[in-house]
Amino acid sequence: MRKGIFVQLLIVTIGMIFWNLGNIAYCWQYERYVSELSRQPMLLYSRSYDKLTLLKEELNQYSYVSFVSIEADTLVARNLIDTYKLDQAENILNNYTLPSVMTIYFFGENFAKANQEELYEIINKKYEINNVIYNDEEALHIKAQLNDFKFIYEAIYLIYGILFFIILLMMRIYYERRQDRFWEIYQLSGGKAGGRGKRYLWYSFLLLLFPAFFMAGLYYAALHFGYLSYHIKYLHFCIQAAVVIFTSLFARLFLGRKF
Amino acid sequence: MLKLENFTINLESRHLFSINDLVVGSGEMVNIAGNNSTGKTLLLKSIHGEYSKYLGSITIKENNPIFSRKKRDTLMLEITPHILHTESVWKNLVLPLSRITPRIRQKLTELCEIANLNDKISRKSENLSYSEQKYLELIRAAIQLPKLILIDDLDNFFDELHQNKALGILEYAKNSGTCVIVTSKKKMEGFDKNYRLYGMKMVEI
Repeated sequence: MRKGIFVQLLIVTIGMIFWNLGNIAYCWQYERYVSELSRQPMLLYSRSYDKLTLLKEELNQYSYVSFVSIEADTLVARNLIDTYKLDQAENILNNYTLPSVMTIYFFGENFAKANQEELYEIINKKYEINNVIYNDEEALHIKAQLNDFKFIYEAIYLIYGILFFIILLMMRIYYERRQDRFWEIYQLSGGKAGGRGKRYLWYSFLLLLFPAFFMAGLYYAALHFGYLSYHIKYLHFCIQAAVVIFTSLFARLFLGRKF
Repeated sequence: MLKLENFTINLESRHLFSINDLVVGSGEMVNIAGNNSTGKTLLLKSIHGEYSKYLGSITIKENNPIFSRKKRDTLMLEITPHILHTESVWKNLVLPLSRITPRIRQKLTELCEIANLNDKISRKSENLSYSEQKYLELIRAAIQLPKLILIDDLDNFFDELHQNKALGILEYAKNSGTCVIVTSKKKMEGFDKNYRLYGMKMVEI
C-alpha cells in the first residue's frame, strides 16, 4: 500500500514539474516578445523644446509608456559632431537651428492599436507635432506573433491539463482497486467502518500537499538564488491544485460503492 | 446478550427451521450442530446482519443485527479464512486494530503461543497451513473482544487436539464477556450448551 502512494506522489510531482517547466518556458519566450516590442521606439522631432517637455510630463501618466527622453537641439548637434567627426563643421552647424528629439519607449504588450491612435491624437492635435517616426508595421508583426504564441501555449496548457487530469484519475482508480482485497479483509476482520474513506482522504491530502510544497520550495529557492527571474502567476498553481482536487473527487465518485 | 424469538427461515418456499426462543448470555459459548443444508450458515448470517429474509426477531443487547455489525459488535468467521496472503502473520493479526498497546502485544504473544504461531509471526501468511490460518483468524477476532463471535463449521479445520487449542484462544474472549456461537457437524466438548438443528427445529443436546 505504501509503495502505491509513493509511486502516485512521484507521478504527480513529475507531472507538475513538467507543467511548471512549460510555464517557465512560456514566460521566457513571452518576455522576449515583449522586450522586442519595447525596443521599437517612437521618435518625435520638434523645434520647440518646451512643447516636448510638456508632452513628456503628460506621457508619463500613461500606463503603456515605459520611458521618455528628450535630446535638446544643442545635444543633437553635439552628437552629430561627435559621431561623424564633424569638428570643422561645428561653426556651420551653429548657424542652423536643429530640432529637439523625443524618444518614447513603450511597455510592449500594453501598447495596443487604440493607444497608438490616442497617442497620435495628442501629439498631432494637442501639441501640433507632426514629425513622428514609428515603425508600427514591425510592432504589429511582433504583436501578431505574440498572439499566435499565446494561443498555441494556451491550447497546449489546456491539453496538458486534461491529460494530467485523466492520468491522475486513472492512476487513483487503479491503485484504489488494487486495494480492494485488503479493505475487504480489513472489514471482515473487524476493522473500523469508514477506514478506507479516511485513508483515501489522507492520501488525497498527501497528493495535493506534498507536490505543492515541493514545487513551491523549488520555485522560491530558484527565485531566491537567482536561477529564475520569471514570476509564475498564482493562478497557475491554483489550476494545478484544482486538477488534483477534482481528480480525487472524480475517482471517489467512480469508486463510490467500495467505500 | 443474544435473543432470538419466533425465528423462522424459509428458503425459496422451503421451510428450513424454526427457533421459538433462544437466549445466549454474555460469556457463553454455544455450539449449534447440524448436517449439511440445514441452515446453520444462514442462522449465523442472520445474527451477523448479512441475511434479513427471516421471520421473527433477533436482538443483540437490545440492538438489531445490522446495527451491531456496523458497530463491529459482532464478528463472523466464515468457512474460508480471510487473510492477506502476501503480508506477514503479525500484520494480519493487527490488521483491524487501530492501536497496539503493550498489553495487546503481550496477549497476542500468549494466544500465538497456544496456536504454535510464535515462530512464524514474521513469515508470510501464504506459508501457513489451513488450520494455522484459522487460528490466525480466531486470535484476530478474540483480541478485539467483540460482543459476539460467530464461527462457521469450526470442526472443518481442527482435529480434537487442535479444537481444544482453538477453544483455549476463544476462552480469552469468553472471559471478557464475549459470547461465542459456533456451528459444526457434531456435538463438541468444552461448550456451555450444545444444540442440534434437527427436523426443522433446534433442540438442546
